[in-house]
Amino acid sequence: MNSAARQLVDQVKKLGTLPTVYAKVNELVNDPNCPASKLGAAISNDQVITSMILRLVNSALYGFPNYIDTVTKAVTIIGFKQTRDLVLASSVIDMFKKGQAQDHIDMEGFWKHSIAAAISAKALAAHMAKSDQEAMFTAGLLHDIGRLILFEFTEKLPIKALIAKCQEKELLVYKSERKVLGFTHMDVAEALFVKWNLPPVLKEAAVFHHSPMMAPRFKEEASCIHIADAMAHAMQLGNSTDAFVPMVSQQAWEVLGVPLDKMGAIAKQVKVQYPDLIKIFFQD
Amino acid sequence: MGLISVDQVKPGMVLAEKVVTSKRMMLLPEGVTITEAHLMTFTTWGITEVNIEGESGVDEVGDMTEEERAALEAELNLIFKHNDLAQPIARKLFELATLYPGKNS
Repeated sequence: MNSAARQLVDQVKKLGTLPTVYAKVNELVNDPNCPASKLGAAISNDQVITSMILRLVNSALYGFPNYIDTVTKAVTIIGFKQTRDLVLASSVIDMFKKGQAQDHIDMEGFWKHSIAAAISAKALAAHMAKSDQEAMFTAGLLHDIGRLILFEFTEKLPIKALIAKCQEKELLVYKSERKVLGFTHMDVAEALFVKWNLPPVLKEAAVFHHSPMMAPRFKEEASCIHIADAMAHAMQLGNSTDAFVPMVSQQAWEVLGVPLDKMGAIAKQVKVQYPDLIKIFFQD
Repeated sequence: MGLISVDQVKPGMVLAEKVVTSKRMMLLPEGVTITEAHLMTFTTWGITEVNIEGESGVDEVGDMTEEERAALEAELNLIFKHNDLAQPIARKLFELATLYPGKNS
């Protein structure tokens, strides 16, 4: 792991620990005898996360015919591990909503890009043989979190100059990071994911989203986020701070095993779900 | 009767076959007359094509003017500059970006 990236992550106080509810949920999910009601009750202790989970499962992301009014119901419908991943997504959303990096970054644009990637990743996962839609949604939401952390250090690191130069010379920011900063936003994400002790699949999907074929264990998942990120850029949803569509790997696409003619429906699905998720995310 | 893309399905058409999700959950039985709400359901569940009774629909006409489309393509050519559009997935993403532009959203 990159030590400079680790030091950076250690300096951001609000990233210290995930909410206690995540640790509790993770413990319960790993217990094969845990009933859904117990998991639901554990989550219900945290009102903010409960409300976010209910908004997500009642959104266009799922399109369930009836309103799901309790977390326990949500658990029985979408599953244990899946609920845990949505708890993680909700925790991070809440954590960064209170963040300060707003002065230096188009926060709204950043999260819109992340949401678009999350929806795209979930939609792609639905067509993959080996897939966990909620894990891919969460990984999509978190894939660029390293960029967000970098923006906490605009005083100390030449982040703004890097972006300005890339825009002027029409370069990809992520390709210049190592030369200018000594590490990349993927290194920062890795440091954070290790610190938080997140599942390896999420870590690899985010850390290898620009080099999916290098992922040691989860090439399909890293490839899913790679393509989802490119979709969000191509459809111009939000703003990752990179003005150009990242270099898309044909090889990564082939790893997904999704027929190319499904992409039209997937893009349409993203286009329809996006405004609903934006509403949920930015409400109150 | 034939399998047609959901993009071309219109309210009033009748299903010639049940619609199931990729996880084999049934969404609609055969014989149902399609409504606007059903179209939304197909999109939500990522259904790409359905089997419809009778004739198939026609292609949707885009609501962009010639100038708007040309401007969008010029912009997309710029933002795709680091991609090789001869590669099928890059080409497909470019096409989708012209069909579903999300600029300023």
